[in-house]
Amino acid sequence: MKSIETNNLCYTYHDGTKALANMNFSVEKGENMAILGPNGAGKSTLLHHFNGLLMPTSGKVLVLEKEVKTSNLDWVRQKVGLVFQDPDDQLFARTVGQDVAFGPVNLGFPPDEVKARVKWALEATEITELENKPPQNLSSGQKKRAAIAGVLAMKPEIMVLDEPMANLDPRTASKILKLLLQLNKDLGLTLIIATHDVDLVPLFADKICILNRGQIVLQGPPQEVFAETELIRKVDLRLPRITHLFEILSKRNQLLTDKQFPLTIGEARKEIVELLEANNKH
Amino acid sequence: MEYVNLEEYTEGHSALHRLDARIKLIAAIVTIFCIVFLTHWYLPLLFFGVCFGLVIYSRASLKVYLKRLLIPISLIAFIGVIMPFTYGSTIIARVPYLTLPIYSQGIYFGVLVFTRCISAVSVLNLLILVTPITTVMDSFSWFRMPAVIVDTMLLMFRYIGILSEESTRMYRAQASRCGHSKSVGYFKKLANYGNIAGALLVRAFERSVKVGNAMISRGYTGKYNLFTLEKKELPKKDTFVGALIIAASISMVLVDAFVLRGVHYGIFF
Repeated sequence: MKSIETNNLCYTYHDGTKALANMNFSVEKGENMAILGPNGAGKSTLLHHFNGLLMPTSGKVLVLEKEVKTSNLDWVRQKVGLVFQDPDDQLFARTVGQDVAFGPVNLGFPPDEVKARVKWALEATEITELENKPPQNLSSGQKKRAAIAGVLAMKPEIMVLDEPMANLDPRTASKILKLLLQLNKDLGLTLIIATHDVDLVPLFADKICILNRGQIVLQGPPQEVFAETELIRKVDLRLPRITHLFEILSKRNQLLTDKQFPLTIGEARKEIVELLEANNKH
Repeated sequence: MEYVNLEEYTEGHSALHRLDARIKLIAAIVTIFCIVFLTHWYLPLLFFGVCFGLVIYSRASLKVYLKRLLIPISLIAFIGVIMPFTYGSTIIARVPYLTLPIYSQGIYFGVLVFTRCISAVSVLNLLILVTPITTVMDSFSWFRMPAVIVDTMLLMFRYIGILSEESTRMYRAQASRCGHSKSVGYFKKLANYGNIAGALLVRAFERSVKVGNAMISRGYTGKYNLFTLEKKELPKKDTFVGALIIAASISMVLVDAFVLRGVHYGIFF
């Protein structure tokens, strides 16, 4: 089943800027999708369509195979949780607990259910102790977790995150990523993550979608996408560092075979060990 | 340029901190009304003295308390200085050369307005010094203030700090490129501050759009109160304390009206 699908999606801003052009995008249920693209590629505009914040100029957006219309926006927003890039845009209540309760209250749940959801969301994001803290007193990582908890409390089936690792130190970014993967594993959430962090993408993505100037230029599993090195560089992106290193070793030092380059440190380690073992045998 | 942190000094464990915010709010409002009705210039000073004592008792920051009084004092002092020349009928002297009359009633009411204002501001100052602002707003909500006003105040409070951070960042960005150095003229500095204010206005608008989107994305339709409020009963002990404060304030008005009787310029002069 497709979690989200777009058919010939076009979107033009009021000033005439064509942000999305005939976009056909799809993500399967339970899949982790990374959306990569340079600045101004249309990533945020696309994400805002998934939640019904923006409606297509032409074309269709389907959530769980239902078309997004103004008449079913409440349903869409319950199914698709959107986490914004800057958590300060999202955390507006006076305490973390109240902010997490915001979505369930809007969905009309009774107070007991709201409390239960808040408790569950805070536990799932491991910030139970922050329930009564004002958002302004939190660290960036804590704010990000609180923002995720606020969306999680609505129990969405699809979670869309706009640059969730932006402005975080590497350790916190890694923790947030682990948290998201855990949520994907435990709850079967479909994750759609827009990011610039090429090195992190192979760690979580089942599929990658590369955008440029409002169009999809490449879509597929990470190994296939990162094999298109020229195209990736043409759209102002780069290979993961580890892949780049292996590309250089292959081209300049002829050290490696022409099979696909590793994308992660784990894959690289395996390949290096194999290479050393093969050399020792000789 | 410093960050604005409105709740920096509200932490504490005194009985005044622990007193229910709704009681503190209603007691403060009634007390301010009572101060306004006082006609003897020295009576409001009693309230000022009590507030001052309570600040010391609650171990709140006296420095912040006095700092927060500075701006209102300067404004009220200006009004107090104007009054002797503009209000009254009994001329007691004239300003040499200018022949500007000085009225006895004007002097009296100038001082009265000053003591009234300074005492009323002291009461509010004490309230926000020992009560988190968000709790005060919860109390407004409990007193049935319209949700749209409370929500707006809470959002304003939430984003004042962020706007302050942004303005500080912009100021530092200007300062790092000598925008506020000694060699820069006064008018150029003013223009730089103007640029910060303008940019801040635009950013505040952009931020409001983003926050609005974040709210809509979580199902906000404008129908509900933004924030859930747990309905707690008023503690009896706190209610009793509140009643005592209100009774004391009202009795001061009664003393002013019936015991001291009317306005006595003679007491002042």
